[in-house]
Amino acid sequence: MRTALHLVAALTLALATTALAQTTITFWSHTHPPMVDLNEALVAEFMAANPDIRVEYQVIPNNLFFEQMIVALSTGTGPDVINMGNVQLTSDYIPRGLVVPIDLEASGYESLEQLRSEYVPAGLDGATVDGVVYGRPSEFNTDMLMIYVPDLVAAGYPEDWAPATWDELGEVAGNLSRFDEAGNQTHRGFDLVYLHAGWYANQLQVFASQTGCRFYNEEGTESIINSPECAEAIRIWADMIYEYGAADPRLTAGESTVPLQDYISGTVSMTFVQPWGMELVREGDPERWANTKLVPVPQVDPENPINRVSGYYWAVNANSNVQPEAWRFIDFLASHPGRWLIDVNFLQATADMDELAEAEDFPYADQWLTTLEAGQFTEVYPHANETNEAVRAALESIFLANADIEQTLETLKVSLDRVLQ
Amino acid sequence: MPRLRISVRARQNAWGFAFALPAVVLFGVFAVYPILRTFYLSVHRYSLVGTPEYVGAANFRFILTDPGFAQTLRNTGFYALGTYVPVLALALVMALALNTGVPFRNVFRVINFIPVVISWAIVAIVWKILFHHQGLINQALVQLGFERIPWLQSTSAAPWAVIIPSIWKELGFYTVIFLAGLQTIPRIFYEAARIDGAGTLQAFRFITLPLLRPILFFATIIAVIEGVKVFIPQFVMTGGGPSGATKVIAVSIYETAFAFGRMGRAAAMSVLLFAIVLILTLTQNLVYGRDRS
Amino acid sequence: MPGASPRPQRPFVRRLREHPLLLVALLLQSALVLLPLIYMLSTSFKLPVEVFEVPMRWIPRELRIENYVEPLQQRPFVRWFINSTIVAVSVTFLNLVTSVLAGYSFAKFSYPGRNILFGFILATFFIPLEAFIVPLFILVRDLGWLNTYAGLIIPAGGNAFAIFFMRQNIMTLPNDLIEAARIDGASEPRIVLSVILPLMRTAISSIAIFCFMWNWNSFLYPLLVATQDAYRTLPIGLASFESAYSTNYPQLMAVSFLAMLPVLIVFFVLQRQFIEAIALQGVKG
Repeated sequence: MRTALHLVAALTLALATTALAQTTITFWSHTHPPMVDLNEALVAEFMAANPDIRVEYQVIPNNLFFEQMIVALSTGTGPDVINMGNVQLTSDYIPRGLVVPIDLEASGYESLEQLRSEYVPAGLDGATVDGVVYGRPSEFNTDMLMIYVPDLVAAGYPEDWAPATWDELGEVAGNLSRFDEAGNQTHRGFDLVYLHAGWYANQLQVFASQTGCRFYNEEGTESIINSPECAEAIRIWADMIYEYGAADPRLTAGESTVPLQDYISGTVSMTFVQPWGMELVREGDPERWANTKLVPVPQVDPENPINRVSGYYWAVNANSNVQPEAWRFIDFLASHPGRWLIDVNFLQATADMDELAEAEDFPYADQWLTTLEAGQFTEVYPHANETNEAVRAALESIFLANADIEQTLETLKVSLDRVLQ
Repeated sequence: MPRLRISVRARQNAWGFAFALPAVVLFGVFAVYPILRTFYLSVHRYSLVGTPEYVGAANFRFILTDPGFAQTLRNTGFYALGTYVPVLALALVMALALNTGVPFRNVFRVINFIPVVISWAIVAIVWKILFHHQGLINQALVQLGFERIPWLQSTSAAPWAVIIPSIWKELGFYTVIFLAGLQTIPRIFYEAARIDGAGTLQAFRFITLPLLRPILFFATIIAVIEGVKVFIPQFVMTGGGPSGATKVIAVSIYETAFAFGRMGRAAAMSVLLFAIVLILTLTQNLVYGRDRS
Repeated sequence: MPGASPRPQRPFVRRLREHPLLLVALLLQSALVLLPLIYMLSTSFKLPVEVFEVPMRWIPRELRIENYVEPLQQRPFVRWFINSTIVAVSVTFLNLVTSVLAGYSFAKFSYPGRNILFGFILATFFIPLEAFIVPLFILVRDLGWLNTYAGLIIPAGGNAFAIFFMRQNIMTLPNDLIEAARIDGASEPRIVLSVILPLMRTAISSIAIFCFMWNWNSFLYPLLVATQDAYRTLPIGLASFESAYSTNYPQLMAVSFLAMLPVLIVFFVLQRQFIEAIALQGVKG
């Protein structure tokens, strides 16, 4: 017993002392293969330029990402640098004091205005609470509709077809669906991604931003998800399944690293895509990508299009004892927008995005920038993980078991009110 | 002389206590303290950041009025019964079959035990692929003229998609336990029964079952605890979904504590889990005790 | 005619004759048990596109060994394997030390409070880890043991079932043996080493196997305590690999098979002891 304890103590000590030799920055991100590759390359370059700093980069599996990150930061065991979605950042991390405001000096800026001027007007908003900025954007996302053109042509539609409204999309998508002799759907005309709770809430926001649906009221005192606006938002999605026979969540691959797997493997003709997704499709099947086109997402009111924007930010752990180095590292990551654009298809919302040499080779650059500039961040709500989990359970009962939308939303409202307790 | 004897005895006892000390310290620190702390946290609000804030019975009120938690309890009961009733019954049949003179019975015993030693992380990965929409199980169903079942994507099928691998994995363990019990029953009892003209069924009813009772009791207790506290199968196969259809108590505790940061609420759920295990164990003890007397 | 009995059948053939239906049933049942594992092995050599071919091809067109090599280059499986080994061996060792000592103490000494201490330890056997994982996690965090071997090993050092089991076994030893050693002048620790340990060899190996298996497959606790790659154990590493690279089913099957192999080998070498260990738990427990 005693020898075993000694052994363990010695082992722990040995491991602890080796870590003190130089400054070490730990950095965690979620799993997105092209991004992981570029992060690894940039980490190597940063270490070559700063021999006194060691960066330990670790990837977290996507379905454990949100909980592992928040537990690690809450227990003071998290990495120095995190990469986190704007909703989680502003709803959980910043209010709980888990991340620190940006260190302008260490980042190499004289003033907040100077930093701000580097980004599009809303660039830093996803990491700003009460006027204080807590992070720098690694990716800015909005949505377009991705269409596999040969499927469209085979069903007798013109190559340049693009839906203005959801009903137009649903009708065509229904015609692109295929069934086997027994009547089981084998191919889906249009479908979304059915993964972890974050994905459900995120995709719902595409419709919710257009119908004016909010999960909670402005004051954050109660849920208003039982509103007709929210029912309408969910009905657009549910109609793809039940009304048009385009979508079927039971057929999904449920792939959390390559969420667009269904589109890549050809079991879906149309789906939403964000900038980063283009690279996944191109890597997954270059030929399919060559026959793919992107058009704007359909609208509830085509006269007044609304696009939601979301983002991921680099931020620094409040418990980190290498904060200046961490911000310096983040500045290094942020100073290569061209490579992020070309290697990973991440839009970093820099002001000079359209002037970057790489922008010329970026697919649909103009369309992305137009949607992005008109885009707005969606609602920020408290207890993001808990809210999203409740929303997912409700959406699954609608999409998988055809539960009544209004009734489900009444129950969901009660659940969300309880989340606020 | 008597003084010396007392001191020898005292010294022996001091050694005896010293021998228990490592275990007592480890259990005190890493089991008894956290268990008591669970009760403390269950009446507090705590998110891992800051200090716990006393909230009285609010956490219990929240859980007991939560329809989601009621479903969690039902799911847990469904899993425990759905898995361990078949497991115990099949294990008994397997043990009886292997307790005969059938050839290769040791080989069969070893084969049946293989799933027991494989970790759940691996079991889940294999069965998820077997349950895939185009996977082997659905291919077999189509061959047999049935429709494909969306095993992991439907609220009605997913509970079974967790139970089936559990039966596969647990069967060997209980078979071996029952077999060991059967082997302690002297052959002479059966020979005597045969001479008295008892059939196989009667021998089973009047010799095997009564003599196997202690083992059955032991196995049922283990099975009940395993069933009620189950975590890994749901966590790695379905994550508790779809729509909460496979969310069991332990998964809910994990999610509430670590994804939602509601330590107090999770502790209250833990207290309920503790109470459930206690009640079930005591009930079994009572039933078994009465039967024996 | 007593002297003219037929030539005696070889016992195997006789047994075969006696139980033909049972044999067939057991063969089918075993095939069912093995099927997922054979499927795993078969899939592990395929191309991703061949996985869901209809009809299923049990023998792959070609053996793609790359499926076994590439994941090992992508993720630190070797490190995870070493971690699992370090943790499971250390925990098993601690379990043995604590359970032999405490089992002896509870079986053969009569100091005040003995039954209360034993009762407390036994009671924890009926309280699932899941019910006190939250404060345990906070405690390990406060000790600064997250992402350390100490955190993975020490809190698991006591095993209530092992202590109970050792106590039951040691109780069957005659007191005279211990008293005789004392009269010979052996110190109490000496008695443990030269009387208890040799006589408890079967019980100890049974507990060792049981504890090793439990800890090798342990999931929830290491999942929480080891969040960094460097300290993950194999089941956690595998689960993280699965959720990160889950489209490549052949690779997944390959690493799963590799991860399963060491335990399977240990099991086949020690299968008699394994099964007897479990059997003994049932009979003695």
